[in-house]
This record gives sequence, C-alpha cells and structure tokens, in this order.
Amino acid sequence: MSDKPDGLTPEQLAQLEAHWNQQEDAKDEARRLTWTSFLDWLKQQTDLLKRNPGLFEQITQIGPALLTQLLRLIA
Amino acid sequence: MSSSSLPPALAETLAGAIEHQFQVSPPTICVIGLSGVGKSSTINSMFGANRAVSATIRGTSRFDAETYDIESTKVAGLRLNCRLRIYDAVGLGEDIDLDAKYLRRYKSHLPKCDIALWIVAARNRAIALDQQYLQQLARVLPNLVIGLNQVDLVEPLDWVESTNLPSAAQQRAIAVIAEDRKTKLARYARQGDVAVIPYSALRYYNLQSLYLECVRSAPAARRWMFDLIKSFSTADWLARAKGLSVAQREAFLEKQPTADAIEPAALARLIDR
Repeated sequence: MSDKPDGLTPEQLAQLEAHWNQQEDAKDEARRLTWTSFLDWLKQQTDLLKRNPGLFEQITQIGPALLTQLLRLIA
Repeated sequence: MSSSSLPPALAETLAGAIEHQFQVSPPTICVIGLSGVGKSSTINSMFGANRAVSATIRGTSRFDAETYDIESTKVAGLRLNCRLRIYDAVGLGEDIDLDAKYLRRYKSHLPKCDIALWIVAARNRAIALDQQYLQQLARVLPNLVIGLNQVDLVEPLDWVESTNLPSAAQQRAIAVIAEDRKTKLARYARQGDVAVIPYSALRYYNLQSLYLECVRSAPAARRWMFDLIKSFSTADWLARAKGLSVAQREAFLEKQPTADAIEPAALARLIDR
C-alpha cells in the first residue's frame, strides 16, 4: 500500500464513499441482527438459571446485586 | 478473561456462559465449492481462522472437519475463547472418484451446519459440476449463501487498484455473471430466495455484504456467535485502495465508529436503563 501525495480525484472519492457507505450499512444491519440474537441468548440463559435451583444458588452466592444487574442487562 | 468495567463476578459468569456455548456447539459452516475458488481465503478474511490456502496448481484432495480457536474481545473487553467449525472438501472437483466420497461426507455433515456457504469463482463459466453437486445435496442443505469470489479477475481485467473497486466495465460484467449464477444455481436450494454475493476475499471487496448474508442465513438464535468471531472491518478494504493520500485515508477512517464490539460503556448503558 502506498499513499500518493495527490490522492484520488473527487469522482474517484465519490465512488469510494458510495461503496464505503454501502458496506457500513451492511455491517450495521449485521450488528443489529447479531445484537438482537445476543440479547435473546442472554435472556434464555437467565431463564435457565431461574429454573435450575443449583445454578441459581451459585449466582445468588455471588450476590443479589450482581443477579439484578444481569437481569437488568437483558431487560 | 478480564473486563475493565463489569463487576468481576458478573464478567466471570458471562464469559463462562459464552465460552461454554462455543465449546459445546460452535458456529459451524459447510464451505462448498470446486478446488481453487478461494474457500480458505474467504474463511480467513471473514473470521481470521488462519486456514492453509491450497497451492494454485493442485488442491490437497482431502475432506477437512476442523475446529479453529479464535480469541474474541467483542463483549465488554472480556477475553473470550471462541471457536469456529468448518467442513470443507478441499479438492472438490479434481477427481470424480474422490468427489463421490466428498459428497457423502458433505451429506452427513450438512444437517449439523448453521450455514452452507457455496463459493464459485466469477471467472469460471463452467458450473455444470456445481449444479450437479447442488442437485445432489439439495435435500440436506441448511440455509444456503452463494458467494461469487474473485470478481477482481472478471474481464476486461481492469480492476481499479487506486480505489480497490471494479471498473465500470467490470461492474456491468459482474452484474451479468451474478444474475446468471443465480438463475443456474439458486433453483436447487430449498429456501425460496438465495442471494448471490459478488466479492473478492483477497481484496476484502464487498465482504461485509457476504458476511451480512451469512448472518441472515444462520439460525436466529445463533447469529450472535458469528459476530464474536468476525475479524474484519470496512477499513480492511479501504487499506487496499492504493491511490488514497494520507489525508484522504484518515478522513475516511474518522467516519468509522471505533466500536465494532459490544463495549463496556454500551453494556453499562443497558444496565442503567
């Protein structure tokens, strides 16, 4: 990669920007889908903890405040 | 594992749950395509799996079922040991006798995969073998994504190095090829609408679009796992645009938000909500 002092022309820059924006939009859409999926998974994990007394006890031993934080995190 | 702002015990619990999920059921991709289409390059560019890329003169003629350990720091700075599993017949299309064996292996593994990523080389007009293999595997294919790799090698071979973009003539040719491959290949898939995504793995061109299609096609409950092991950004494509001046490059990079991860601050905001 070599950076040219003069750089790209305005027309080339516009082409670059158009593709950049399209790629960033694709990235954002993928992040939206994966973030939603991550929150659902977290919720599922917490539900599992609630249903499993052993695991729930382990968490409550860590501290009720932390459990509250985890629940609020996925709310 | 460590975290800068989550309470240590919460960070420990969260990291343990995430790592356990990756251990017992890592995101799994069946990569299918004839030898030399750039399967390993594609996986390496998207996920940093560091797969060996076959020599150009001959593939290694084997069926790989490999698990890659990938470290992720995308959740609140936690250092997470993640995994990616890949099934791939490296030498598919090199020997008709071996191909029969490869197809049997694909059939047994495909039902366990999150995505089937079928890769064809844009310059290759002979796709009868792809059609034949798709037809044979159609019944066991999970959601299918078709990648049209190596679009930089499309005629008239005048890729614009200064912008790392196809020329106008190449753009037109790529659109025609993508439509043709969609017509000829997508009809074998179970799902109604299969996208054909033109890209170049080596130049990181349009890789975000291919990745988005992979995420869309993955089971909704498992999409987040792909985000944790994603290893590229739009800046990787920009870095290969050779004509940018230093100032122009910096101006572009300033537009990109620094957070391509779930930052502690973002988690803290959720906690405070």
